[in-house]
Amino acid sequence: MRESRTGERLIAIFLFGCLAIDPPLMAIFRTEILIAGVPVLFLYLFAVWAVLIGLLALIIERESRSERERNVPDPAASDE
Amino acid sequence: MLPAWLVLGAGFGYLCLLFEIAYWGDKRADAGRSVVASPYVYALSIAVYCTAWTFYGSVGRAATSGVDFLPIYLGPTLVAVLWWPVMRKILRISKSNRITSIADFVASRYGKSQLLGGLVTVIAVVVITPYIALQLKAVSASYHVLSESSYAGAGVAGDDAASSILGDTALYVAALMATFAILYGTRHIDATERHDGMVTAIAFESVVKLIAFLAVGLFVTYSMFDGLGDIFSRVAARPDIAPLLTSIGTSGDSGWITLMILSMAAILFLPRQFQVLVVENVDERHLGKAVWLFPLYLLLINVFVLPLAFAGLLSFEPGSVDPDTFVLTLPMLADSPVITLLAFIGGLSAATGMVIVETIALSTMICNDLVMPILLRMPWLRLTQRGDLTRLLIAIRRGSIVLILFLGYLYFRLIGGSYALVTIGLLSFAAVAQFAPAIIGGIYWRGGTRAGALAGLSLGFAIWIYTLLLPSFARSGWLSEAFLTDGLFGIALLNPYALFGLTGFDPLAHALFWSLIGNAGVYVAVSLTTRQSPTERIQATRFVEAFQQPAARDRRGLWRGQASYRDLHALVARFIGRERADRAFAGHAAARGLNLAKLAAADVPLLHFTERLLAGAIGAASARVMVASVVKGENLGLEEVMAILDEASQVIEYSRQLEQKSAELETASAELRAVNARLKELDRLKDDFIATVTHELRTPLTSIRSFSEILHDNPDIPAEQRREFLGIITKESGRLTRLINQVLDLAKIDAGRFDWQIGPVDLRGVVADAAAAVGGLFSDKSVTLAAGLPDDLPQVRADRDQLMQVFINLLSNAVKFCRSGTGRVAVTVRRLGAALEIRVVDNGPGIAAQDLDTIFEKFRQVGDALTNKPAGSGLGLPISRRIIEHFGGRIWAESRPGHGAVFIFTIPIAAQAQTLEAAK
Repeated sequence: MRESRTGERLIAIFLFGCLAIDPPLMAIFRTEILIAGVPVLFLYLFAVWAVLIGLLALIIERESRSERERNVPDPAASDE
Repeated sequence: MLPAWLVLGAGFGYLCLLFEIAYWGDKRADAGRSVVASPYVYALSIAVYCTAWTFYGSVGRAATSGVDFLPIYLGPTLVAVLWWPVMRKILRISKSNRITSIADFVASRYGKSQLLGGLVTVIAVVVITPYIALQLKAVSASYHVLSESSYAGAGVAGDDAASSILGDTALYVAALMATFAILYGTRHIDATERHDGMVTAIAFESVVKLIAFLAVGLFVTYSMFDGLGDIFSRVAARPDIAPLLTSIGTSGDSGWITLMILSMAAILFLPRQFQVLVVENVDERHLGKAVWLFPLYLLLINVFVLPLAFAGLLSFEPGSVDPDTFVLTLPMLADSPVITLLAFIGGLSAATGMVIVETIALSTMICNDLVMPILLRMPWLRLTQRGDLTRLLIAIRRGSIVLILFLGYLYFRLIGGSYALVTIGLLSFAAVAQFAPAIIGGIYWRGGTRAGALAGLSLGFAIWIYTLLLPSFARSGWLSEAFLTDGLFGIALLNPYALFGLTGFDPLAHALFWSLIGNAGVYVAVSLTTRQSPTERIQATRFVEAFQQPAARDRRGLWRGQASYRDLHALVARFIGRERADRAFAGHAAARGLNLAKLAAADVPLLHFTERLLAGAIGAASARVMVASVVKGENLGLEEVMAILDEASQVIEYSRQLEQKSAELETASAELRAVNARLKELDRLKDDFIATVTHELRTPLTSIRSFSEILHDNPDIPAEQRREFLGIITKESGRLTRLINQVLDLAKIDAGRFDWQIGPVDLRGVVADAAAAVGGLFSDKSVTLAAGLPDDLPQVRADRDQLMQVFINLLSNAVKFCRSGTGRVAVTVRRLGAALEIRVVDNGPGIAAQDLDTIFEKFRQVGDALTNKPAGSGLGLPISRRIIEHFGGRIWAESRPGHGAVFIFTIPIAAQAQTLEAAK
């Protein structure tokens, strides 16, 4: 149950990523304005990238933690 | 600027360190404390994706077209999001099938097809060769940049091609890499096909190249310039390069999307990625960490690409330095030998890491899916009977490694000069994408067939050759330039950059579009029109349902024949060595609680274990052939499996049973219908009978009652008339009595309760009595009766009274229909075997043919019931029939209308009469 939710969340992130870095949307950020000395387009791409990685880490680590919790009692149970 | 000995020494020293680390990694693994068993090492080893192309080429691409180097890393990031669902499935499948390479994976999915495995291998080798050439070119170019006194014009690879082969650094680099791959990639043949030492070294290299690149980036950005803001604002002030800040590449939107798709396919299907992701994976759970660590690595290694590119553009005159070498030339410009050397080491490590893993992966494929299947098919080699094959396997792999590197070197010498690093890499990526339909389809669509995969792969690869590889040859001058401008044979529709008139795409997007459309389309179309063999079907189910009941799947298998444990052990020992075989079988036996010493015949799980063990060493397709050579009676097994598995045959069988059942049902219902009809008829007859009986009873009763009333109401009736009336009453009463008796008799006979007095009867007496009884009728109507019977008749077996009843019925019946005066009735008898046949003949009007049977039914009187109603109850003949049948005889009527009727019946002769006769 929880695993399938993880799969759904990941697919949602994948779709979000595809959308965020598709060329038509990126066109919005193709201006010559610099923010903190960096072009907006570069900032945007790296920011989206970092957000993707952050979300991934969050979801995967939570999933593997709950998996570990599920697995911990297992050896004891099988020993009995 | 750096002395050549220093550069060479650093490079050589670095490679030595690598050997040391790999050696250490293998030692640790042998000691059971493998460093590879860590998610971090796993994630770092996946970073083998970042090659010299990343290290040098990204900066070069950014310097010419802006951010469009990024899709190559954003694509893998997005795919990493899907690793959890998709890659875990591939991992699960590969572990349960002991997959050793991507060719093995495809071959195994489509019925362990050697042909398919071979095709994938050939494609991979053809495709990866330019990619390896690219790494050699990068290392060679970086060495030249460093060792030449002036960096102006450095790195133009054409110079390398012009130099003599012996003086070519790329050759020595290739040789060193081959040595490493041979030492750590083919140390031994193992069933798991994992290389702990190599993976350790690769992870180390990933750290080195990341640190080196970040160091160069930080140095250039913050030492040579005043940070990011400084670089970008200076670029913005330069009108010639300022457009790069907002550009997404020279080929626009379609180019961006093409790069994304290509890199997505590459991270999954490049042989080296498959090697580190799947084959070298120790624990499925490591994938979780890698899912976000690997994209993080990609992000970090790309952070300084744009600053470096722009720093290079700002520092050098346009065109004076190849942008691909900015990573080296910028630190050189700043006169920093340490950073320069670090950059060189980083590039070297990126190149070696890729080459080592790629050659090992390819050599496994060449050995398992190309050479071994061919060798095993050559009967004169007698490989199946030879002793130890481990050395042969190792020799083949080592030879393959040398061959691959040699091919790469050749490509680099002959063609490499005409292309930038990135372009060569993209060429390979586009071909690797051709694996996508067969693999993705293979793990999610059960219907994909071997023929479909073969057709799709072949077509996709052919289009790739035509639209990308041949044009690259043309650009190198191997083919006429006219091929690019006018198309093949001058046909514009066959222009490799605008196939069938498709324009508006850059060559890469154009090639990808046509090849993937053709590939996937043909794969699906052919799959839908071909049938899977039983092996294909089993493998398809195993792959598609990898997450469902993996244990149960393993047990359901193909092997149904007989093999001895000793044969299997000998077979495995030949490929992986006696010691390893001993250990593997001992482990299997311990896990299943078997005693190997007593084990004579191998059971199915053991056969599977053997096949998987061998698959790890020589690939699934060859393993199947090898085990089949030991198993006896296997061919029959396949047919049986076919019968078990073929859903169609089950359905046919089921529908056949259904048909049979419905036919049975139909018969039964027809019978029921017939019975029902008969019942209805009987019911109707019963109703008729009751109605008729009531009617027949009422007629005499009415006349008796009316005459009685007349006599009662008129006491003064004349005596004569009174006598007449009383006579009628008496007659009608007699008729009534007779009728009631007949009905009772009939009911009794029908119910089987009639009191029969069966015994020998003299027919003559019966006929005489009957004639006397009906004599009045005959004389009344002046009908002559001829009833003279011969006196030597045997006695018959019957009930005398009832037999007389039959005669009376027939005679009174006959006289009824005869015309008075001319009527004639005759009774004749003749002997018919063990019975007598009696005929009662009249010369009345006869009976119509359709009535001959019905007259024997109750109350069926012939003639119009209203106008020409014959006298009688209508029960005489039915009763007669029952009586005769009870005696064991038969009664029927014959007639020619207008010529009278004949009633015929037979009666068996009494037993005593027969014996008496015999005595005579």
